[in-house]
Amino acid sequence: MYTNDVLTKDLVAASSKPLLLSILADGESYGYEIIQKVRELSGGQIEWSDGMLYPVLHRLERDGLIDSEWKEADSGRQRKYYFISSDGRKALKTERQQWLAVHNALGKLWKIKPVSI
Amino acid sequence: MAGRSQRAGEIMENQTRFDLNAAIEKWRQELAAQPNLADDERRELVMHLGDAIADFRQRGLNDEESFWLARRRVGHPQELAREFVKANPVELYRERVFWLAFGLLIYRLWDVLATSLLSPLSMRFNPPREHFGYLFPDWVSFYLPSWLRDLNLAPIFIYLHPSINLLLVLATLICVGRGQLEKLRPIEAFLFYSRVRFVLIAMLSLIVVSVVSYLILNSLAVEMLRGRFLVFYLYGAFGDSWIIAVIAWLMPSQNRSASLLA
Repeated sequence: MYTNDVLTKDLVAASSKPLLLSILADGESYGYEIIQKVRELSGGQIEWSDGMLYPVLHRLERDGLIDSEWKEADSGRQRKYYFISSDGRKALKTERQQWLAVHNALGKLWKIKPVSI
Repeated sequence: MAGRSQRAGEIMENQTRFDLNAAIEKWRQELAAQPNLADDERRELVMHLGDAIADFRQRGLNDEESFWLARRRVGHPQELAREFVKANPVELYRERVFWLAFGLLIYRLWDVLATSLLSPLSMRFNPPREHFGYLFPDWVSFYLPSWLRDLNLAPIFIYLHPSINLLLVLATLICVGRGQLEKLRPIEAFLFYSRVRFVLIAMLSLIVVSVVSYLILNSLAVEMLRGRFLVFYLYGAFGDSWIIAVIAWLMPSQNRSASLLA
């Protein structure tokens, strides 16, 4: 049932928040660029369907973790850029601690070197 | 000869060539037909499709291949709309109630205006002058056949007023059905630029419509209406100001804080 190349749906959903916040913590970006980056970072293992990204982005925006602004792109067309808010940075810190806690617990079982939180 | 056959080849190629712009436009319209998507979200998705197409083309795919791959990647408009609703059902209802209230306001303005504009006409049909012949001077109606002269027009007027209001509803439905509402986008952007601007314009429209209605109805030779003062009409109009309050309350959040100037 489990294939080893693509992440399960639940894991994709759970990891979307820390991934998006971390990408935006590196600098503002727009939907298409974010998708490309996730694909690149995970070597294709995290396969987000493009259209589903926006509801997640908009939810983060509603929660005040990111902000957005329509800006003119190089092509002269308007593009919606997202950037992280100060609340978003705080949330990212918490996310980081939690994910690393899970990582370390699993790492102990699997005899992988722990990562400092 | 060679030139001609080359040209024929060009024509053939043009005829079978995939029209990328038309395909994008069709996709955009499909997306526009989804009532669950906010405007902003639609624009964003169209932009995303454009980016994906550009990307595939850069990798050497032709227009048609790029379009179909990009379309598959972004997702079917209906599925997209479903996902967006799942993510934020409250927002969907906010937008629906917002447009409902806005429709109600336009309907009220139209109703007051249409009533007063039709009143002079209705005066002509007031009993006992409700027959077709009375529309014309006597020397004309004298020559009309009696069935036409005595044709009773009162029922027409009775249905005229409701049907004029229905016209507005019909026109709106046709516009929505044909996707023509996009053309009103600049007006929308102007009107809802900020809360203050919207409230000012809406109140001003109410006042203007009341004054017009006062001027028309007061000029009619109707004893019952003549005694009314302008204040009476203004008072009636301000009864509708609660709709303006509801609309201002439900306005998209990014417009609420925008300043009047800028």
